Amino acid sequence: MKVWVVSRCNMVSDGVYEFEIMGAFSTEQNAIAACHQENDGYGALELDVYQGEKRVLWPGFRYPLVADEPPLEIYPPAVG
Amino acid sequence: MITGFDFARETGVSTINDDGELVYIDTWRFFDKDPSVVIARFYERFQEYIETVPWPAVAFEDLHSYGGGGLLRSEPWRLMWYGFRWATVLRCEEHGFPWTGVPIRLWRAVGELPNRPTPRQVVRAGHNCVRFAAGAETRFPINDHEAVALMVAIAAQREAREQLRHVPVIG
Repeated sequence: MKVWVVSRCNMVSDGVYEFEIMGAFSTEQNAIAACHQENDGYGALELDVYQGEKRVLWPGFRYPLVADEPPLEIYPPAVG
Repeated sequence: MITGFDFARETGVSTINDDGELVYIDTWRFFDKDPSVVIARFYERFQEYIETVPWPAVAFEDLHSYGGGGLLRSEPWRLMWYGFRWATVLRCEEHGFPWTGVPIRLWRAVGELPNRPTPRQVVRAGHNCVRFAAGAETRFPINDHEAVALMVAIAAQREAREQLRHVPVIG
């Protein structure tokens, strides 16, 4: 059984971030509904599954309120 | 609100709101042979402007990112740029406004702009991340300084937002 966890990414000081857990939900729809700001995201976890075997970026974690915009394409360093 | 600057004797100034709408774009012109006078006039003009903006954040193009070329070769200009920067940072610190220097690689990444683009062209070049607040699209074409200021503001806003969208680690 999956549980959908909503967290808010806050900057607590320059360059230091925290994830504030906003809730855990039984459906993805409820998790999306709990995202009120652009820095609110959600991801799924399997209940009763130990996640401590290896550290990974949360697969499938999404920020649903973010408008679809292409990522910033970084140019090579400019000369002149 | 975030205001982007392209510092020069003709300083491009562009403000976008939190929805990415362009709410102000203009060129502040300072004509005097004495750089200290130009800087002082910028300082006063900046103070006048921030009194009209509810909560501005400020971004300017980061001259360090030019490397050793371009305008940075000109000593008087370099000193004047640092004067503008000093005046901007000082005012922001006084008022508690956030400020940042935007590296050229970021603001150029927003879009290559044609010469003297119209705001509509900026929208296209900027990947549609700017919409226009009422009345703001009546004045065009914008000039190069304004285009750079707009790109700086867009890049700073996107960078700030992306910083708040880290993906958590599990495990």
